[in-house]
Amino acid sequence: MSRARLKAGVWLAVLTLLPFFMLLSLLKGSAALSVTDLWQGSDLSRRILYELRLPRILLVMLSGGLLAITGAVVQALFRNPLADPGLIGVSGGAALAAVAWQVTVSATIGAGVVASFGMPLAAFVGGMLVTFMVIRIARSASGISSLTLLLTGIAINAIAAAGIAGLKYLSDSMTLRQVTFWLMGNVQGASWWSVLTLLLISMVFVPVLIRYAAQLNLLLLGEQQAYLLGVDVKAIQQRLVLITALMVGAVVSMVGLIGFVGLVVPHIVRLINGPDNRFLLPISFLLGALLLLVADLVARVVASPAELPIGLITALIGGPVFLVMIAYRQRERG
Amino acid sequence: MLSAESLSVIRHGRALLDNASMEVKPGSLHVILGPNGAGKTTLLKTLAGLIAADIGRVALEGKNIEEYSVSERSLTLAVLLQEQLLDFPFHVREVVSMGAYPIGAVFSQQNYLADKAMTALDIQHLADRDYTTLSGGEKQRTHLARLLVQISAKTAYVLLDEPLKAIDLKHQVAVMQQIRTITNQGKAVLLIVHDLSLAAQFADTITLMDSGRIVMTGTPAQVMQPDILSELFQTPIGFTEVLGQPLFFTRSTI
Repeated sequence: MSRARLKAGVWLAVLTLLPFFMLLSLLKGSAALSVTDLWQGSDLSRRILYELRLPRILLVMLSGGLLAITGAVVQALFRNPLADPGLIGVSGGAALAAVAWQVTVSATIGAGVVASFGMPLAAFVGGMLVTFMVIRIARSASGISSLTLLLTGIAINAIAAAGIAGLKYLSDSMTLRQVTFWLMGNVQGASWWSVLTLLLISMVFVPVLIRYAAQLNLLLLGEQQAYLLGVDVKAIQQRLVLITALMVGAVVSMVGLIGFVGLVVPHIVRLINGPDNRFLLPISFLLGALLLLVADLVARVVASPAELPIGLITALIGGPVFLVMIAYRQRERG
Repeated sequence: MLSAESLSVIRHGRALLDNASMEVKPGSLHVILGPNGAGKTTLLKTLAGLIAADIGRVALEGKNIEEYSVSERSLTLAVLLQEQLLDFPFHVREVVSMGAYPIGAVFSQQNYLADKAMTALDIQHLADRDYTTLSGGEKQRTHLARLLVQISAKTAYVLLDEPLKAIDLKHQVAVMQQIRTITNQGKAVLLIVHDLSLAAQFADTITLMDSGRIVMTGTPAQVMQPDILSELFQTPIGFTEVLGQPLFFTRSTI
Protein backbone atom coordinates (compact mmCIF):
# COMPACT_ATOMS: atom_id res chain seq x y z
CA MET A 1 0.00 0.00 0.00
CA SER A 2 1.78 3.11 -1.23
CA ARG A 3 -0.75 5.42 0.39
CA ALA A 4 0.17 4.22 3.87
CA ARG A 5 3.84 4.93 3.26
CA LEU A 6 3.04 8.37 1.85
CA LYS A 7 0.98 9.16 4.92
CA ALA A 8 3.88 8.36 7.21
CA GLY A 9 6.19 10.42 5.02
CA VAL A 10 3.98 13.50 5.15
CA TRP A 11 3.64 13.27 8.92
CA LEU A 12 7.39 13.03 9.25
CA ALA A 13 8.11 15.91 6.85
CA VAL A 14 5.66 18.27 8.53
CA LEU A 15 6.79 17.35 12.01
CA THR A 16 10.45 17.98 11.21
CA LEU A 17 9.93 21.12 9.16
CA LEU A 18 7.74 22.76 11.79
CA PRO A 19 10.40 23.15 14.54
CA PHE A 20 12.99 24.02 11.91
CA PHE A 21 10.96 26.93 10.57
CA MET A 22 9.99 27.97 14.09
CA LEU A 23 13.63 28.39 14.96
CA LEU A 24 14.41 30.13 11.68
CA SER A 25 11.44 32.42 12.20
CA LEU A 26 12.60 33.30 15.72
CA LEU A 27 16.04 34.31 14.53
CA LYS A 28 15.29 36.04 11.22
CA GLY A 29 13.76 39.46 10.88
CA SER A 30 14.65 43.14 10.85
CA ALA A 31 16.96 42.44 13.80
CA ALA A 32 18.98 39.30 13.15
CA LEU A 33 19.61 37.14 16.19
CA SER A 34 21.76 34.09 16.72
CA VAL A 35 20.87 30.80 18.35
CA THR A 36 22.77 31.68 21.52
CA ASP A 37 20.51 34.72 22.03
CA LEU A 38 17.78 32.24 22.91
CA TRP A 39 19.29 31.70 26.36
CA GLN A 40 22.02 34.31 26.88
CA GLY A 41 21.12 37.37 24.84
CA SER A 42 20.91 40.96 25.91
CA ASP A 43 17.75 42.42 27.40
CA LEU A 44 16.80 43.80 24.02
CA SER A 45 17.20 40.53 22.17
CA ARG A 46 15.25 38.75 24.90
CA ARG A 47 12.43 41.24 24.54
CA ILE A 48 12.43 40.84 20.78
CA LEU A 49 12.33 37.07 21.18
CA TYR A 50 9.79 36.58 23.91
CA GLU A 51 7.57 39.63 23.62
CA LEU A 52 7.56 40.13 19.87
CA ARG A 53 8.60 37.10 17.84
CA LEU A 54 7.54 34.12 19.92
CA PRO A 55 3.93 35.25 20.48
CA ARG A 56 3.76 36.30 16.85
CA ILE A 57 5.04 32.94 15.61
CA LEU A 58 2.65 31.03 17.85
CA LEU A 59 -0.26 33.23 16.80
CA VAL A 60 0.57 32.70 13.15
CA MET A 61 0.88 28.94 13.55
CA LEU A 62 -2.35 28.57 15.51
CA SER A 63 -4.20 30.77 12.99
CA GLY A 64 -2.84 28.76 10.08
CA GLY A 65 -3.76 25.48 11.72
CA LEU A 66 -7.28 26.63 12.60
CA LEU A 67 -7.93 28.12 9.16
CA ALA A 68 -6.73 24.93 7.45
CA ILE A 69 -8.76 22.53 9.60
CA THR A 70 -11.92 24.65 9.31
CA GLY A 71 -11.41 24.62 5.54
CA ALA A 72 -11.26 20.82 5.56
CA VAL A 73 -14.37 20.57 7.76
CA VAL A 74 -16.37 23.07 5.69
CA GLN A 75 -15.41 21.16 2.53
CA ALA A 76 -16.78 17.94 4.02
CA LEU A 77 -19.93 19.67 5.29
CA PHE A 78 -20.63 21.12 1.85
CA ARG A 79 -19.28 18.02 0.07
CA ASN A 80 -17.26 20.38 -2.07
CA PRO A 81 -13.46 20.74 -2.19
CA LEU A 82 -13.79 24.35 -3.36
CA ALA A 83 -15.52 25.49 -0.17
CA ASP A 84 -13.38 27.74 1.98
CA PRO A 85 -14.49 29.93 4.88
CA GLY A 86 -13.09 32.94 3.01
CA LEU A 87 -14.58 32.15 -0.38
CA ILE A 88 -18.07 31.30 0.85
CA GLY A 89 -18.27 34.48 2.93
CA VAL A 90 -17.87 33.15 6.49
CA SER A 91 -14.72 35.17 7.11
CA GLY A 92 -16.34 38.21 5.49
CA GLY A 93 -19.35 37.95 7.77
CA ALA A 94 -17.08 37.53 10.78
CA ALA A 95 -15.01 40.54 9.71
CA LEU A 96 -18.08 42.71 9.19
CA ALA A 97 -19.39 41.85 12.65
CA ALA A 98 -15.97 42.45 14.20
CA VAL A 99 -15.56 45.81 12.46
CA ALA A 100 -19.06 46.80 13.53
CA TRP A 101 -18.11 46.00 17.11
CA GLN A 102 -14.83 47.88 16.79
CA VAL A 103 -16.38 51.00 15.29
CA THR A 104 -19.45 51.19 17.51
CA VAL A 105 -18.78 49.63 20.92
CA SER A 106 -15.00 49.74 21.24
CA ALA A 107 -14.81 53.28 19.90
CA THR A 108 -17.37 54.42 22.48
CA ILE A 109 -16.26 52.63 25.63
CA GLY A 110 -12.55 52.52 24.82
CA ALA A 111 -10.25 49.53 24.74
CA GLY A 112 -11.08 47.50 27.81
CA VAL A 113 -11.88 43.93 28.71
CA VAL A 114 -15.40 44.14 27.27
CA ALA A 115 -14.08 45.54 24.01
CA SER A 116 -11.39 42.90 23.53
CA PHE A 117 -13.58 39.95 24.51
CA GLY A 118 -16.54 41.30 22.57
CA MET A 119 -14.77 41.45 19.24
CA PRO A 120 -14.06 37.73 18.83
CA LEU A 121 -17.57 37.06 20.08
CA ALA A 122 -19.04 39.41 17.49
CA ALA A 123 -16.90 37.76 14.79
CA PHE A 124 -18.13 34.34 15.93
CA VAL A 125 -21.78 35.41 15.68
CA GLY A 126 -21.20 36.99 12.25
CA GLY A 127 -19.44 33.89 10.93
CA MET A 128 -22.12 31.59 12.31
CA LEU A 129 -25.00 33.56 10.80
CA VAL A 130 -23.32 33.52 7.40
CA THR A 131 -22.65 29.77 7.53
CA PHE A 132 -26.26 28.93 8.34
CA MET A 133 -27.39 31.33 5.61
CA VAL A 134 -25.08 29.72 3.03
CA ILE A 135 -26.33 26.25 3.97
CA ARG A 136 -29.94 27.38 3.56
CA ILE A 137 -29.34 29.04 0.21
CA ALA A 138 -26.93 26.60 -1.44
CA ARG A 139 -28.47 23.30 -0.38
CA SER A 140 -30.82 21.43 -2.66
CA ALA A 141 -32.11 17.86 -2.66
CA SER A 142 -29.12 16.59 -4.59
CA GLY A 143 -26.55 18.36 -2.48
CA ILE A 144 -24.73 21.63 -2.76
CA SER A 145 -23.48 22.87 -6.10
CA SER A 146 -20.11 24.58 -6.42
CA LEU A 147 -21.64 27.32 -8.49
CA THR A 148 -24.36 28.27 -6.00
CA LEU A 149 -21.91 28.01 -3.15
CA LEU A 150 -19.34 30.32 -4.71
CA LEU A 151 -21.95 32.74 -6.03
CA THR A 152 -23.45 32.95 -2.56
CA GLY A 153 -19.94 33.64 -1.29
CA ILE A 154 -19.44 36.43 -3.81
CA ALA A 155 -22.71 38.05 -2.80
CA ILE A 156 -22.00 37.79 0.91
CA ASN A 157 -18.46 39.07 0.49
CA ALA A 158 -19.80 42.04 -1.50
CA ILE A 159 -22.30 42.83 1.24
CA ALA A 160 -19.62 42.47 3.91
CA ALA A 161 -17.20 44.69 1.96
CA ALA A 162 -19.86 47.35 1.52
CA GLY A 163 -20.76 47.17 5.20
CA ILE A 164 -17.13 47.45 6.22
CA ALA A 165 -16.57 50.39 3.87
CA GLY A 166 -19.62 52.13 5.33
CA LEU A 167 -18.43 51.54 8.87
CA LYS A 168 -14.97 52.83 8.02
CA TYR A 169 -16.60 55.98 6.71
CA LEU A 170 -18.31 56.44 10.07
CA SER A 171 -15.24 55.79 12.19
CA ASP A 172 -12.64 58.21 13.50
CA SER A 173 -9.17 58.24 12.01
CA MET A 174 -7.61 56.20 14.81
CA THR A 175 -10.11 53.34 14.49
CA LEU A 176 -9.91 53.59 10.71
CA ARG A 177 -6.17 52.93 10.77
CA GLN A 178 -6.55 50.01 13.13
CA VAL A 179 -9.34 48.44 11.11
CA THR A 180 -7.55 48.86 7.79
CA PHE A 181 -4.32 47.23 8.94
CA TRP A 182 -6.11 44.49 10.78
CA LEU A 183 -8.21 43.56 7.76
CA MET A 184 -5.13 43.05 5.59
CA GLY A 185 -3.99 40.29 7.89
CA ASN A 186 -2.18 41.83 10.79
CA VAL A 187 -0.01 39.72 13.04
CA GLN A 188 2.29 42.46 14.29
CA GLY A 189 0.32 43.24 17.40
CA ALA A 190 0.44 39.64 18.59
CA SER A 191 -0.11 39.46 22.31
CA TRP A 192 0.22 36.48 24.63
CA TRP A 193 -3.46 36.99 25.36
CA SER A 194 -4.47 36.28 21.76
CA VAL A 195 -2.06 33.32 21.61
CA LEU A 196 -3.67 31.83 24.70
CA THR A 197 -7.18 32.32 23.33
CA LEU A 198 -6.38 30.49 20.09
CA LEU A 199 -4.41 27.84 21.98
CA LEU A 200 -7.38 27.18 24.24
CA ILE A 201 -9.77 26.96 21.29
CA SER A 202 -7.40 24.60 19.46
CA MET A 203 -6.88 22.36 22.45
CA VAL A 204 -10.58 22.04 23.14
CA PHE A 205 -12.11 21.93 19.68
CA VAL A 206 -9.53 20.42 17.31
CA PRO A 207 -9.89 17.02 19.06
CA VAL A 208 -13.67 17.42 18.82
CA LEU A 209 -13.45 18.00 15.07
CA ILE A 210 -11.14 15.01 14.65
CA ARG A 211 -13.62 12.87 16.58
CA TYR A 212 -16.20 13.64 13.90
CA ALA A 213 -13.84 12.66 11.05
CA ALA A 214 -15.41 9.24 10.39
CA GLN A 215 -18.89 10.77 10.25
CA LEU A 216 -17.60 13.49 7.90
CA ASN A 217 -16.36 10.72 5.58
CA LEU A 218 -19.84 9.21 5.49
CA LEU A 219 -21.35 12.64 4.90
CA LEU A 220 -19.44 12.70 1.60
CA LEU A 221 -21.74 9.87 0.41
CA GLY A 222 -24.62 12.34 0.61
CA GLU A 223 -26.70 13.45 3.57
CA GLN A 224 -29.41 10.84 3.09
CA GLN A 225 -26.99 7.95 2.63
CA ALA A 226 -25.00 9.10 5.69
CA TYR A 227 -28.22 9.25 7.71
CA LEU A 228 -29.06 5.70 6.58
CA LEU A 229 -25.64 4.57 7.78
CA GLY A 230 -26.40 5.86 11.26
CA VAL A 231 -25.01 9.41 11.17
CA ASP A 232 -27.16 11.98 12.94
CA VAL A 233 -26.64 14.43 10.09
CA LYS A 234 -28.58 17.44 11.39
CA ALA A 235 -27.00 17.36 14.84
CA ILE A 236 -23.50 17.02 13.41
CA GLN A 237 -23.98 19.80 10.90
CA GLN A 238 -25.18 22.16 13.60
CA ARG A 239 -22.34 21.32 15.95
CA LEU A 240 -19.69 21.61 13.27
CA VAL A 241 -21.05 24.90 11.96
CA LEU A 242 -20.86 26.32 15.48
CA ILE A 243 -17.31 25.07 16.02
CA THR A 244 -15.99 26.25 12.65
CA ALA A 245 -17.68 29.64 13.07
CA LEU A 246 -16.08 29.95 16.49
CA MET A 247 -12.67 29.11 15.07
CA VAL A 248 -12.98 31.40 12.05
CA GLY A 249 -14.41 34.18 14.22
CA ALA A 250 -11.56 33.90 16.70
CA VAL A 251 -8.89 33.86 14.00
CA VAL A 252 -10.44 36.75 12.06
CA SER A 253 -10.77 38.87 15.17
CA MET A 254 -7.13 38.21 16.12
CA VAL A 255 -5.32 38.45 12.79
CA GLY A 256 -7.84 39.81 10.29
CA LEU A 257 -8.54 38.33 6.90
CA ILE A 258 -6.02 35.74 5.74
CA GLY A 259 -7.39 33.99 2.68
CA PHE A 260 -6.86 30.69 0.89
CA VAL A 261 -5.19 28.74 3.72
CA GLY A 262 -8.37 26.72 4.24
CA LEU A 263 -8.54 25.98 0.54
CA VAL A 264 -4.94 25.20 -0.35
CA VAL A 265 -3.83 23.15 2.64
CA PRO A 266 -6.56 20.46 2.63
CA HIS A 267 -6.21 20.29 -1.15
CA ILE A 268 -2.51 19.47 -0.91
CA VAL A 269 -3.10 16.89 1.81
CA ARG A 270 -5.90 15.28 -0.24
CA LEU A 271 -3.67 15.10 -3.33
CA ILE A 272 -1.02 13.18 -1.44
CA ASN A 273 -3.10 11.13 0.99
CA GLY A 274 -6.63 10.96 -0.28
CA PRO A 275 -9.76 12.43 1.25
CA ASP A 276 -10.02 10.37 4.47
CA ASN A 277 -10.92 13.01 7.07
CA ARG A 278 -9.45 10.96 9.90
CA PHE A 279 -6.08 11.83 8.42
CA LEU A 280 -6.98 15.01 6.55
CA LEU A 281 -8.08 16.99 9.62
CA PRO A 282 -5.05 16.56 11.89
CA ILE A 283 -2.48 16.83 9.11
CA SER A 284 -4.23 19.91 7.67
CA PHE A 285 -3.95 21.56 11.08
CA LEU A 286 -0.20 20.92 11.16
CA LEU A 287 0.43 21.79 7.53
CA GLY A 288 -1.67 24.95 7.88
CA ALA A 289 0.49 25.99 10.82
CA LEU A 290 3.61 25.33 8.76
CA LEU A 291 2.35 27.13 5.65
CA LEU A 292 1.36 30.30 7.49
CA LEU A 293 4.59 30.22 9.47
CA VAL A 294 6.56 30.19 6.22
CA ALA A 295 4.30 32.86 4.69
CA ASP A 296 4.91 35.07 7.72
CA LEU A 297 8.65 34.52 7.48
CA VAL A 298 8.59 35.52 3.81
CA ALA A 299 6.46 38.56 4.62
CA ARG A 300 8.99 39.72 7.19
CA VAL A 301 12.17 38.95 5.33
CA VAL A 302 11.48 39.76 1.70
CA ALA A 303 11.28 43.55 2.07
CA SER A 304 13.07 43.87 5.41
CA PRO A 305 12.99 46.09 7.42
CA ALA A 306 9.53 46.75 5.99
CA GLU A 307 6.86 44.04 6.31
CA LEU A 308 4.34 42.85 3.79
CA PRO A 309 0.84 41.97 5.04
CA ILE A 310 0.68 38.21 5.52
CA GLY A 311 -2.68 38.09 3.71
CA LEU A 312 -0.87 39.29 0.60
CA ILE A 313 1.50 36.31 0.66
CA THR A 314 -1.24 33.73 1.16
CA ALA A 315 -3.28 35.29 -1.66
CA LEU A 316 -0.21 35.16 -3.93
CA ILE A 317 0.14 31.43 -3.27
CA GLY A 318 -3.55 30.60 -2.91
CA GLY A 319 -4.95 32.52 -5.88
CA PRO A 320 -3.01 30.59 -8.54
CA VAL A 321 -3.60 27.26 -6.79
CA PHE A 322 -7.33 28.01 -6.76
CA LEU A 323 -7.23 28.81 -10.48
CA VAL A 324 -5.48 25.54 -11.25
CA MET A 325 -8.03 23.63 -9.16
CA ILE A 326 -10.92 25.22 -11.07
CA ALA A 327 -9.27 24.57 -14.45
CA TYR A 328 -8.57 20.95 -13.52
CA ARG A 329 -12.13 20.30 -12.35
CA GLN A 330 -13.47 22.01 -15.46
CA ARG A 331 -11.41 19.76 -17.73
CA GLU A 332 -12.41 16.62 -15.81
CA ARG A 333 -16.10 17.39 -16.20
CA GLY A 334 -15.51 17.83 -19.92
CA MET B 1 -41.83 -7.30 9.20
CA LEU B 2 -41.53 -3.92 7.53
CA SER B 3 -44.94 -2.57 6.65
CA ALA B 4 -46.40 0.47 5.01
CA GLU B 5 -49.77 1.24 6.57
CA SER B 6 -51.99 3.45 4.36
CA LEU B 7 -49.18 5.80 3.43
CA SER B 8 -49.91 9.07 1.71
CA VAL B 9 -47.24 11.58 0.81
CA ILE B 10 -48.41 14.88 -0.60
CA ARG B 11 -46.02 17.42 -2.08
CA HIS B 12 -47.01 20.64 -3.85
CA GLY B 13 -50.66 19.56 -3.88
CA ARG B 14 -49.85 16.26 -5.63
CA ALA B 15 -50.11 12.86 -4.04
CA LEU B 16 -46.78 11.11 -4.60
CA LEU B 17 -48.11 8.22 -2.55
CA ASP B 18 -51.83 7.59 -2.26
CA ASN B 19 -53.00 5.30 0.51
CA ALA B 20 -50.25 2.74 -0.14
CA SER B 21 -50.08 -0.37 2.03
CA MET B 22 -47.65 -3.24 1.68
CA GLU B 23 -45.53 -5.64 3.68
CA VAL B 24 -41.97 -6.82 3.28
CA LYS B 25 -41.54 -10.21 4.90
CA PRO B 26 -38.34 -11.77 6.29
CA GLY B 27 -36.69 -14.28 3.99
CA SER B 28 -38.38 -13.08 0.85
CA LEU B 29 -37.65 -10.90 -2.16
CA HIS B 30 -40.31 -8.31 -2.80
CA VAL B 31 -40.07 -6.53 -6.15
CA ILE B 32 -41.81 -3.26 -7.02
CA LEU B 33 -42.61 -2.63 -10.67
CA GLY B 34 -44.20 0.37 -12.31
CA PRO B 35 -43.72 3.12 -14.87
CA ASN B 36 -41.60 6.23 -14.23
CA GLY B 37 -43.20 8.51 -11.68
CA ALA B 38 -45.34 5.73 -10.21
CA GLY B 39 -44.03 6.51 -6.72
CA LYS B 40 -41.67 3.54 -6.33
CA THR B 41 -38.74 5.58 -5.02
CA THR B 42 -41.02 7.69 -2.81
CA LEU B 43 -42.40 4.49 -1.29
CA LEU B 44 -38.90 3.13 -0.70
CA LYS B 45 -37.69 6.38 0.87
CA THR B 46 -40.78 6.57 3.06
CA LEU B 47 -40.21 2.98 4.19
CA ALA B 48 -36.59 3.94 4.96
CA GLY B 49 -37.73 6.87 7.11
CA LEU B 50 -36.20 9.48 4.79
CA ILE B 51 -39.58 10.93 3.86
CA ALA B 52 -42.21 11.50 6.54
CA ALA B 53 -45.64 10.30 5.48
CA ASP B 54 -48.43 12.87 5.70
CA ILE B 55 -50.95 10.13 6.45
CA GLY B 56 -50.32 6.58 7.64
CA ARG B 57 -47.23 5.11 9.26
CA VAL B 58 -44.29 2.83 8.63
CA ALA B 59 -43.86 0.01 11.10
CA LEU B 60 -40.49 -1.69 11.42
CA GLU B 61 -40.87 -4.86 13.48
CA GLY B 62 -44.04 -3.43 14.99
CA LYS B 63 -42.46 -0.14 16.04
CA ASN B 64 -43.01 3.17 14.27
CA ILE B 65 -39.92 3.90 12.18
CA GLU B 66 -39.72 7.43 13.58
CA GLU B 67 -39.23 6.03 17.06
CA TYR B 68 -35.95 4.39 16.09
CA SER B 69 -32.73 6.21 16.91
CA VAL B 70 -30.53 6.92 13.91
CA SER B 71 -27.95 4.29 14.85
CA GLU B 72 -30.49 1.67 15.93
CA ARG B 73 -32.26 1.99 12.58
CA SER B 74 -29.02 1.71 10.60
CA LEU B 75 -28.48 -1.67 12.26
CA THR B 76 -31.96 -2.92 11.37
CA LEU B 77 -32.43 -1.46 7.92
CA ALA B 78 -29.94 -0.97 5.08
CA VAL B 79 -30.73 1.08 2.01
CA LEU B 80 -29.11 1.64 -1.36
CA LEU B 81 -30.41 4.83 -2.93
CA GLN B 82 -30.64 5.36 -6.66
CA GLU B 83 -28.44 8.46 -6.80
CA GLN B 84 -24.85 8.16 -5.66
CA LEU B 85 -23.38 11.56 -4.76
CA LEU B 86 -19.85 10.65 -3.72
CA ASP B 87 -17.37 12.86 -5.57
CA PHE B 88 -14.18 12.58 -3.52
CA PRO B 89 -11.20 10.41 -4.56
CA PHE B 90 -11.51 7.67 -1.94
CA HIS B 91 -10.08 4.27 -2.78
CA VAL B 92 -12.72 1.65 -3.53
CA ARG B 93 -11.73 -0.26 -0.39
CA GLU B 94 -12.30 2.86 1.72
CA VAL B 95 -15.80 3.36 0.27
CA VAL B 96 -16.70 -0.29 0.86
CA SER B 97 -15.39 -0.09 4.44
CA MET B 98 -17.72 2.83 5.17
CA GLY B 99 -20.44 0.19 5.43
CA ALA B 100 -18.81 -0.98 8.65
CA TYR B 101 -19.56 2.30 10.43
CA PRO B 102 -22.92 1.29 11.95
CA ILE B 103 -21.60 -2.05 13.21
CA GLY B 104 -18.54 -0.36 14.70
CA ALA B 105 -16.14 -3.03 13.44
CA VAL B 106 -12.48 -2.86 14.36
CA PHE B 107 -10.02 -2.26 11.55
CA SER B 108 -8.98 -5.88 10.88
CA GLN B 109 -12.60 -7.03 10.86
CA GLN B 110 -13.51 -4.12 8.58
CA ASN B 111 -10.86 -5.24 6.14
CA TYR B 112 -12.09 -8.82 6.26
CA LEU B 113 -15.70 -7.78 5.62
CA ALA B 114 -14.65 -5.40 2.84
CA ASP B 115 -12.60 -8.11 1.13
CA LYS B 116 -15.48 -10.55 1.32
CA ALA B 117 -17.94 -8.01 -0.10
CA MET B 118 -15.58 -6.94 -2.88
CA THR B 119 -15.04 -10.56 -3.89
CA ALA B 120 -18.80 -11.17 -3.95
CA LEU B 121 -19.26 -8.29 -6.39
CA ASP B 122 -16.09 -8.98 -8.35
CA ILE B 123 -14.40 -5.63 -7.63
CA GLN B 124 -11.49 -7.05 -5.64
CA HIS B 125 -9.12 -5.97 -8.43
CA LEU B 126 -10.33 -2.36 -8.05
CA ALA B 127 -9.67 -2.20 -4.29
CA ASP B 128 -6.91 0.42 -4.54
CA ARG B 129 -8.41 2.37 -7.43
CA ASP B 130 -9.65 5.96 -7.06
CA TYR B 131 -13.44 5.71 -6.86
CA THR B 132 -14.01 8.81 -8.98
CA THR B 133 -12.24 7.18 -11.96
CA LEU B 134 -14.57 4.15 -12.06
CA SER B 135 -17.27 3.52 -14.65
CA GLY B 136 -20.94 3.84 -13.66
CA GLY B 137 -21.40 0.10 -13.21
CA GLU B 138 -18.20 -0.27 -11.18
CA LYS B 139 -19.31 2.59 -8.90
CA GLN B 140 -22.67 0.91 -8.43
CA ARG B 141 -20.99 -2.39 -7.52
CA THR B 142 -18.77 -0.52 -5.05
CA HIS B 143 -21.84 0.84 -3.27
CA LEU B 144 -23.49 -2.59 -3.32
CA ALA B 145 -20.36 -4.00 -1.67
CA ARG B 146 -20.60 -1.22 0.94
CA LEU B 147 -24.17 -2.34 1.59
CA LEU B 148 -23.06 -5.98 1.93
CA VAL B 149 -20.62 -4.88 4.63
CA GLN B 150 -23.36 -2.97 6.43
CA ILE B 151 -25.73 -5.96 6.47
CA SER B 152 -23.08 -8.45 7.57
CA ALA B 153 -24.30 -7.92 11.13
CA LYS B 154 -27.88 -8.40 12.18
CA THR B 155 -29.54 -6.08 9.64
CA ALA B 156 -32.84 -7.72 8.73
CA TYR B 157 -34.24 -5.43 6.03
CA VAL B 158 -32.60 -4.35 2.79
CA LEU B 159 -34.10 -1.78 0.42
CA LEU B 160 -32.55 -1.46 -3.04
CA ASP B 161 -33.51 1.26 -5.51
CA GLU B 162 -32.46 0.12 -8.99
CA PRO B 163 -29.24 -1.61 -7.91
CA LEU B 164 -28.70 -3.02 -11.40
CA LYS B 165 -28.46 0.41 -12.99
CA ALA B 166 -25.45 0.55 -15.37
CA ILE B 167 -24.31 -2.97 -14.38
CA ASP B 168 -23.41 -5.37 -17.18
CA LEU B 169 -25.19 -8.71 -17.66
CA LYS B 170 -22.58 -10.92 -16.03
CA HIS B 171 -22.56 -8.82 -12.89
CA GLN B 172 -26.34 -8.42 -12.86
CA VAL B 173 -26.44 -12.17 -12.33
CA ALA B 174 -23.85 -11.84 -9.54
CA VAL B 175 -25.98 -9.16 -7.86
CA MET B 176 -29.14 -11.26 -8.13
CA GLN B 177 -27.26 -14.22 -6.64
CA GLN B 178 -26.18 -12.02 -3.74
CA ILE B 179 -29.79 -10.96 -3.22
CA ARG B 180 -30.81 -14.62 -3.18
CA THR B 181 -28.10 -15.31 -0.57
CA ILE B 182 -29.41 -12.43 1.53
CA THR B 183 -32.99 -13.68 1.52
CA ASN B 184 -31.77 -17.22 2.24
CA GLN B 185 -30.19 -15.81 5.42
CA GLY B 186 -33.71 -14.84 6.47
CA LYS B 187 -33.41 -11.17 5.63
CA ALA B 188 -36.10 -9.28 3.74
CA VAL B 189 -35.27 -7.52 0.48
CA LEU B 190 -37.33 -4.84 -1.25
CA LEU B 191 -36.14 -4.29 -4.80
CA ILE B 192 -37.04 -1.71 -7.43
CA VAL B 193 -36.11 -2.84 -10.97
CA HIS B 194 -37.32 -2.27 -14.51
CA ASP B 195 -36.50 -5.70 -15.91
CA LEU B 196 -39.78 -7.63 -15.99
CA SER B 197 -38.23 -11.01 -16.86
CA LEU B 198 -35.76 -10.71 -14.02
CA ALA B 199 -38.56 -9.78 -11.60
CA ALA B 200 -40.66 -12.73 -12.72
CA GLN B 201 -37.72 -15.08 -12.39
CA PHE B 202 -36.43 -14.10 -8.94
CA ALA B 203 -39.24 -12.43 -6.97
CA ASP B 204 -41.26 -14.10 -4.24
CA THR B 205 -43.78 -11.26 -4.22
CA ILE B 206 -44.40 -8.51 -6.75
CA THR B 207 -46.16 -5.20 -6.23
CA LEU B 208 -47.32 -3.12 -9.18
CA MET B 209 -47.53 0.64 -8.72
CA ASP B 210 -49.03 3.44 -10.76
CA SER B 211 -49.63 7.15 -9.96
CA GLY B 212 -48.74 6.75 -6.30
CA ARG B 213 -51.14 3.86 -5.81
CA ILE B 214 -50.56 0.16 -5.30
CA VAL B 215 -52.29 -1.54 -8.21
CA MET B 216 -51.77 -5.13 -7.21
CA THR B 217 -49.65 -7.37 -5.02
CA GLY B 218 -49.17 -11.09 -5.48
CA THR B 219 -46.93 -13.94 -6.56
CA PRO B 220 -45.20 -13.60 -9.97
CA ALA B 221 -47.73 -16.07 -11.41
CA GLN B 222 -50.65 -13.91 -10.26
CA VAL B 223 -49.24 -10.53 -11.18
CA MET B 224 -47.08 -11.04 -14.24
CA GLN B 225 -49.87 -11.33 -16.81
CA PRO B 226 -49.20 -9.71 -20.20
CA ASP B 227 -52.57 -7.93 -20.22
CA ILE B 228 -52.09 -6.49 -16.70
CA LEU B 229 -48.57 -5.36 -17.53
CA SER B 230 -49.57 -3.89 -20.90
CA GLU B 231 -52.24 -1.86 -19.13
CA LEU B 232 -49.82 -0.73 -16.40
CA PHE B 233 -47.01 0.32 -18.73
CA GLN B 234 -49.34 1.62 -21.46
CA THR B 235 -47.53 -0.40 -24.09
CA PRO B 236 -48.20 -3.87 -25.51
CA ILE B 237 -46.12 -6.43 -23.64
CA GLY B 238 -45.66 -10.04 -24.75
CA PHE B 239 -44.61 -13.09 -22.82
CA THR B 240 -42.91 -16.37 -23.66
CA GLU B 241 -40.85 -19.00 -21.92
CA VAL B 242 -37.36 -19.77 -23.07
CA LEU B 243 -35.53 -22.76 -21.56
CA GLY B 244 -37.96 -22.71 -18.67
CA GLN B 245 -37.36 -19.04 -17.87
CA PRO B 246 -39.97 -16.28 -18.22
CA LEU B 247 -39.26 -13.72 -20.91
CA PHE B 248 -41.21 -10.47 -21.27
CA PHE B 249 -40.79 -8.21 -24.28
CA THR B 250 -42.39 -5.11 -25.79
CA ARG B 251 -44.49 -5.79 -28.87
CA SER B 252 -44.47 -2.29 -30.25
CA THR B 253 -42.60 -1.76 -33.46
CA ILE B 254 -40.49 1.31 -33.97
